Amino acid sequence: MARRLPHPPRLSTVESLILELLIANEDAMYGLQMVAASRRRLKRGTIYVTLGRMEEKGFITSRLEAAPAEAGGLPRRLYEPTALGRRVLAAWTAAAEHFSPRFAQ
Amino acid sequence: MARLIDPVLADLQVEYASAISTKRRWLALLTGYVAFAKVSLWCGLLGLREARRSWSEEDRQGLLHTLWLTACAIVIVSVPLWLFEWPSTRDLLESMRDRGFAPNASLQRLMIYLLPAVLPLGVPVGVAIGAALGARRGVLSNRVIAAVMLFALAMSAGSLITIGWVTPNSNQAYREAITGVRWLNKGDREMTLIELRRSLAMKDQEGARRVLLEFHQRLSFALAPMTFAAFGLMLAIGRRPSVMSAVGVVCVVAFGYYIVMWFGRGLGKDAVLPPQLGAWLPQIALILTTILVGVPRTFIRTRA
Repeated sequence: MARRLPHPPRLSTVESLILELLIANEDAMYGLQMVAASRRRLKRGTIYVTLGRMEEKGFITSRLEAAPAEAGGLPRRLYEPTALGRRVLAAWTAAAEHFSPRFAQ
Repeated sequence: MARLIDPVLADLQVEYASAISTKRRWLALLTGYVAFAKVSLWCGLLGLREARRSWSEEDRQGLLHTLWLTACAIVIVSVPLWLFEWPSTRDLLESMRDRGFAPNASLQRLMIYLLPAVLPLGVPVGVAIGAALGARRGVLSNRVIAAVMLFALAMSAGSLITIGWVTPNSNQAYREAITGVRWLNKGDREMTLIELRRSLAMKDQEGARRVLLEFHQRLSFALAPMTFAAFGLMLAIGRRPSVMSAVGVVCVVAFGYYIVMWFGRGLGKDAVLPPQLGAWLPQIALILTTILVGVPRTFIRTRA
């Protein structure tokens, strides 16, 4: 009997966009910075939910900013891609290119 | 949730702080509130999904049974109350025609205007019956109790909108339709909650008392689904009532509630009690009754 392979990691369009932004940027980014950098492709109302889900999947990691930017304000959460996130994005991009109609021609 | 809400707040705080200097303060504030509302909604939906996964089949059945019974009870209570108005509305329509008015609405349309006034009466009783009978087959778990109270809270919010805004406008539409006169002056019952609050400043002492009583009575009545649901749940805890006895007890309590409501209204109007206390008297009475019924039953449940 053939052994069932585990499901490969899945990457939605928004998740791949977030990973692309984080990899392209040298430093860690915070939520609204990604919204601004995505040129309205990411929405400020949904990005935090997606970031939380990606962190659970292990695609990104986060840490709190060392000191609050404004006096009395909450520290911002900065996000960075993990090695798994980088590998998944590379594999996903390669697969997308392989199966795209442009490539078939 | 801290991983979702805290980053939004932190980012929005920074964005707002930077917007103050660029005179885009209100835009940043507005978009910030919208973003926060969206994230909160997402959190709520995710929490509900997680809660649904961890619910047992018995809990799920208990809640569905409660909601289904509540919906049926609301219809069974509201429809007769609504139809009860049919003969008096028909007679009023005919007498207005006899007195030389020119009503510009049919009897059916007038009955539709009366619908919002009936629903807040039927909802508390329906919720109480649903809560008392919903989990009769299984164990009434804390999750089901919390879900029923959450449902009652949503019903209270709906009642507040209905009593505060929908009913006054439909009352005014009813009056204008039955007299055939447009732009009739609004009475206390035709004013929305905001209009009532604004009219307070223009009233003399007696008028202000009357308006204050109406205002607080509406707020108090909007909370009725919550207190009735708590009473229904108390009936379901401990020794389970039969269908007939649960319906009977809820009907007696509802009747008592309306008597205390009119009693409190009278006392508030005659300045025997402060209008606020007169308006909240039925709620206080129902909460005390719930505690008196509930404490021994909770004790039985804990011992069992």
